[in-house]
Amino acid sequence: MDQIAFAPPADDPALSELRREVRAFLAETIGSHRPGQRIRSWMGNDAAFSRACGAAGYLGMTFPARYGGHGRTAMERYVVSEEMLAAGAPVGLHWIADRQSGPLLLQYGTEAQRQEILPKVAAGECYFCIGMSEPDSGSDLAAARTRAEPVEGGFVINGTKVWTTNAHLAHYMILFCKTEAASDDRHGGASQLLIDLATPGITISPIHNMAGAHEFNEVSFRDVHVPAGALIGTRGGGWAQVMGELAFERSGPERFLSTFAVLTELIHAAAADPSREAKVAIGRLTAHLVTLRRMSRSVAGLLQAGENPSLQATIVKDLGAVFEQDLPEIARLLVPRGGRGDGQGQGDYQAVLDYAVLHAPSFSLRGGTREILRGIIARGLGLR
Amino acid sequence: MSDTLLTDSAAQVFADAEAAARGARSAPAWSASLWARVEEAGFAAALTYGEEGITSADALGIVRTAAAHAAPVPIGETMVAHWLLAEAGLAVPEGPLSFAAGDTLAATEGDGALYVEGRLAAVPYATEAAGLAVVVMVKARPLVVHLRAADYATERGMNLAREPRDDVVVRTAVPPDRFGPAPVGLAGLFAIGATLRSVAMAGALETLLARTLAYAGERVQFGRPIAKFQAVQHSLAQIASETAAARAAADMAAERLTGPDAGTLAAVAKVRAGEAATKAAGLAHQVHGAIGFTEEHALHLYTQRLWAWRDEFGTEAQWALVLGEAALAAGASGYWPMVTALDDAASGAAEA
Repeated sequence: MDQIAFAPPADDPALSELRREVRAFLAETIGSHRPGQRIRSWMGNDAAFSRACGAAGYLGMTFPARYGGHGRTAMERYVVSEEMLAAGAPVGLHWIADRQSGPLLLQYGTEAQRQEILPKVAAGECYFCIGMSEPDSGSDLAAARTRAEPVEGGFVINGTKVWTTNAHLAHYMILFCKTEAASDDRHGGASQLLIDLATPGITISPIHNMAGAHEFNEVSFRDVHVPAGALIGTRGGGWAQVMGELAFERSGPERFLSTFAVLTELIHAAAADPSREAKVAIGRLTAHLVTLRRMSRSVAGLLQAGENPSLQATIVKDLGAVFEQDLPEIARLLVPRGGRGDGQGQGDYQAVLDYAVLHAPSFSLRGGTREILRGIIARGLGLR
Repeated sequence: MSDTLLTDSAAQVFADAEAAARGARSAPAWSASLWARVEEAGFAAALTYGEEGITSADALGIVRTAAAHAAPVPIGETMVAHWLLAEAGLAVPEGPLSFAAGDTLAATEGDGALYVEGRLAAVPYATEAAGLAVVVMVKARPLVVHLRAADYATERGMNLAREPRDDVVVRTAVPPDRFGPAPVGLAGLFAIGATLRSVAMAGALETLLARTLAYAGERVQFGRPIAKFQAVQHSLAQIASETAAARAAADMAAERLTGPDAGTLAAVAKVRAGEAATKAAGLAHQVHGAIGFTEEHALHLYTQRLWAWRDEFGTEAQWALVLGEAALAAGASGYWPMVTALDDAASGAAEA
């Protein structure tokens, strides 16, 4: 079963020095954050923190220096990412730009796009959102109907994107849309465009989630004119590009560390007088966490080696979502919500538990639903 | 001998092992002829091939391959026993060997000999073995004792998969050339056993996945192979994910079979592989339908071993308890550094 093998990640002694550096940076910048802030993790926004990350060289790490990057390895970037997430750093504003939009532009963007955008991403001053889902096409991305009509000098866009995280805060969107005439090939005729969200004709409307937070948006395009230079990569080649982009989106540590603060707060709350049941449950979660981390680091190593680990990335995301969703359910039974197990009142523990319980349904929806992921794994196994 | 040569050679030696594993209905799972081939291939000494550049992970690749063919021989046990005896500076006998943590034995030194007395429970292949490497504590110091077959009596026992797990009754005086300082204590040896079983579970799971995929592709119901049904595809995807997780966890433990993190990694592997075994075996039986529940079909060779190995050298709950205690000892602020040190040699070394 070579296609589901997770090669051991390469050892690199330089990583531990970097890890120490990042820990010191985090202690200095967000050391005073309460668990209730930390649990927001990559949904937490802080422009000053994003700029500080840029100044410290923690963004655009794998970009070449000529684009403001730091020429570092995927494994080095991984160390920074996981330390940020484990600390619950407010990385939300720059996360998508650094994780996938920047790398996509590096791979497929025009020279002008790279020069214009990448240095700002590396500085932590430029945020992205992803225009994939639509009201009638969520998991079925190929059914997207938003259309960019080729016209003299550019495109005219009409359509609606939805579930667009941080569109209201982002500077740019990478838009997945149809540019070619309809054909029998469901995956054909799509392209990716770089959209400046300040362009006239774009309306961004909030969608509050059930926890009351404004993360999602609906983004509508009405006769939006963009220049020809907005095209990313090949006209009509958008499907292959977007599939490659998803490998970056699915394998990272954010796929199992979103609710990490629940685990540390649980340990904190249970530590005074741990039952055998609590020890066993925390031990089991630890076994899952250590294994997921190994698998995720393996994918980073494969990406660094230039391989295409999209099947492995999908396995990590599917298992990671199960872990993230289990975590608050296990915690609430060991230390009840109203309990005062942490000896400092119930504030911190309850804050992280509430956040995790209310956000858990999204973990197996965002970045590909559980059903889509298992379908992709089945395809990788040769079943489709 | 390079690691790929080792893997290829193991695949050849164990290729027909499954047929040998089927055996008679109530007979123990043991094949002397397969053992002869294992011995000929030189696998027994694989854990002591360090000087030839073979890592513990490479060596345990043999155990994984053997398990992927349900091989009815104590290959992992022999490798560990061989390593224990060699590390203690003792002569290593020919033939299949086994090992045990002798915490139920009384061991006292006198007149240059070591008097060993007591009972060991469920020692793998003790009846078939030419000898045992047993670790005993003498004055708070772990010693490896080489017990020859003539030194003990065995009482046949078997696990769920009919693999020999015999009780051993011993009362003997061991001469000085058959005991020496152990490279690992009782807990360390138990952890090595857990890693052996985790690695074996990863191997059995790989075959379980391959067989279940093949069966779902062949079995036609409602006019198409059942592999075309989405519900079945999702079960197969879960078997694949569980298999991948078990393998990743077992690899980590196999890479550090000894050393400061060995016990923690063994715990991670045994918990994760054990859980994968439970889930994947259940799903594989579901996909196979009634035929998989028969003696005739080979599926049970793998599911029964997975169920048995979950329980040997500590269940998921026992090892989770160990891990949970480590996590609580690290505390909320020390927990993440503990996790990163486990799979990051550089960071582990730096913090040690």
